[in-house]
Amino acid sequence: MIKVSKRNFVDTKAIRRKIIKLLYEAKASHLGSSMSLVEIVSTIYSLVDNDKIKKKSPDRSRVFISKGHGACGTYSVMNAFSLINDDELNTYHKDNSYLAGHVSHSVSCVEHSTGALGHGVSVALGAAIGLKSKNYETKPLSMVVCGDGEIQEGSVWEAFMLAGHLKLNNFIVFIDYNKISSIKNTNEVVNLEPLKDKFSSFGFSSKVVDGHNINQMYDAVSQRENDKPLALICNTIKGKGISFAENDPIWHYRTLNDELYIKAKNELK
Amino acid sequence: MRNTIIEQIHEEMKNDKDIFFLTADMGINLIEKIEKDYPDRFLNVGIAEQNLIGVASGLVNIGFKVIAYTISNFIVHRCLEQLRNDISLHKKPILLIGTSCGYDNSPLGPTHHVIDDWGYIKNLPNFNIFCPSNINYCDNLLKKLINKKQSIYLRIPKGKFDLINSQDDYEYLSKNNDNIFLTYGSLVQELFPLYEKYDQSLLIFNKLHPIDKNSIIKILEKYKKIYVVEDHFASNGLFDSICKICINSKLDSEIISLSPNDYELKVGTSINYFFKLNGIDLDSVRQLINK
Repeated sequence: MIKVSKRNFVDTKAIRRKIIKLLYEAKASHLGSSMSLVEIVSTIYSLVDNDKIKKKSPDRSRVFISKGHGACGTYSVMNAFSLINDDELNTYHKDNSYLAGHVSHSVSCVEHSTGALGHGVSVALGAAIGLKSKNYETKPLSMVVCGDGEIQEGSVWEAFMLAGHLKLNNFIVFIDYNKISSIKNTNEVVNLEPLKDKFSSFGFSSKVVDGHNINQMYDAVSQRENDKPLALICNTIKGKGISFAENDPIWHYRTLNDELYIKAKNELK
Repeated sequence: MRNTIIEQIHEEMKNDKDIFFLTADMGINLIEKIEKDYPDRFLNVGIAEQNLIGVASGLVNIGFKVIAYTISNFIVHRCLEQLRNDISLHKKPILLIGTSCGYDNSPLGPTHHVIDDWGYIKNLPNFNIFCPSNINYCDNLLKKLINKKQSIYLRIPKGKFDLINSQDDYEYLSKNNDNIFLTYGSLVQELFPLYEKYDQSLLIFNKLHPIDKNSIIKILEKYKKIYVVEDHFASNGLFDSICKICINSKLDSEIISLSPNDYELKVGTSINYFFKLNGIDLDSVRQLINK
């Protein structure tokens, strides 16, 4: 288990080492996404009461990973927060495991299965609406991580439009803005800019942050406006931490061979 | 039938504080009372069916019994992936209500003909599908369905057909004959005279899926010819379901499908126009028997 430090922050380098080990051993893909969302997911689990998540308390905050292909990264962060044990995590992407290459609700503490893009945002919105309706004293949040390529899906904008209309201040969207879609840079496929303005015009409080800086994201959520949903546009690097994988779309698909695994491991020491 | 169901929803929401009603901007002069009386458990998500189903799924996560309402031609196709991934895969209890079936919206054109809806849902594991064929079947239907804690698609035909006073999932009206006619939805009103005037047996389905195979086979094995008459494609409709259970039961009766097999671009101002065009109206069916 990776040690969690004072402000509930984790050793993200250790998480990245775990990710590449799991991906290498399973010959699994999606390295780029798993590396880019480490700090985002770590921020989210720093913000919530993880005991409530473990106990499935009705008033727990809800966490949704809409970019389900970030499963290895997500599960490794959850492991750091004691939400998945080591034995289970080590089955990632192997026969008979429930830890598939996309996030699955068959894994304890995971709210919802994702994989087809654009789904998690609406489900997270429904959870935010439901939590408001229940009017819990603990004011739980519904938080969702979605990819920048993912927001090319139309359904997410249906959800964003409604969230802004309802002024849902318990709904927080983290955009993993690594600027790379499935096979190309997002600005070459469908340019998302001006992204911050887009969210503002949809009724969100929107903020651009360093998606690899937990403190910055933590503070942005803690100090958010009270009458709007929040969109954090988290600038990230796809493949973060591994020189040969950073900003290269191919690492959505490619798997680590022996030589590259050793190289990556050395870079993450 | 639509009004009856909505009235039941309103009544049930008074008793059961866990029911949450969603609409995709449909139900004018019908759902306003729900919004007024239960504003914390009512939401119009706008004309956005993918979001409708995603939001419904999220509300189920919080513990609500969710009703998602719009018209049948919008609640299936546009959001099929949401129904697959966010409802069926998670075995989430939800009550989808779609109004209008078959050619209920006749003159509005093929985008509003509902002739291929429930067949898609049928292929999603864990879904139950209901289509009340008469108003009496609707008595207490909402309470029954919402408490089943299953994924349910309720498609409601237009009309107030009340000649059958039964709340059974299948209504078997038997005559001493070699033929039996299987049908559902709006066609029941059209084909009821087959039984009433022309001495043919009828088997009416209020529940379309899954079918109670044993009790249906017990009925069908008495007949040499089984006609499945539906205002829905046969390939994934009732004909498909009946063929499967007959094959599994090694029943050697002849099974004949009467149904549309394509979308229709011609304008027809009445439901009967389309029944006739597809050979599923009373006269066409009668002529077939007499051949």
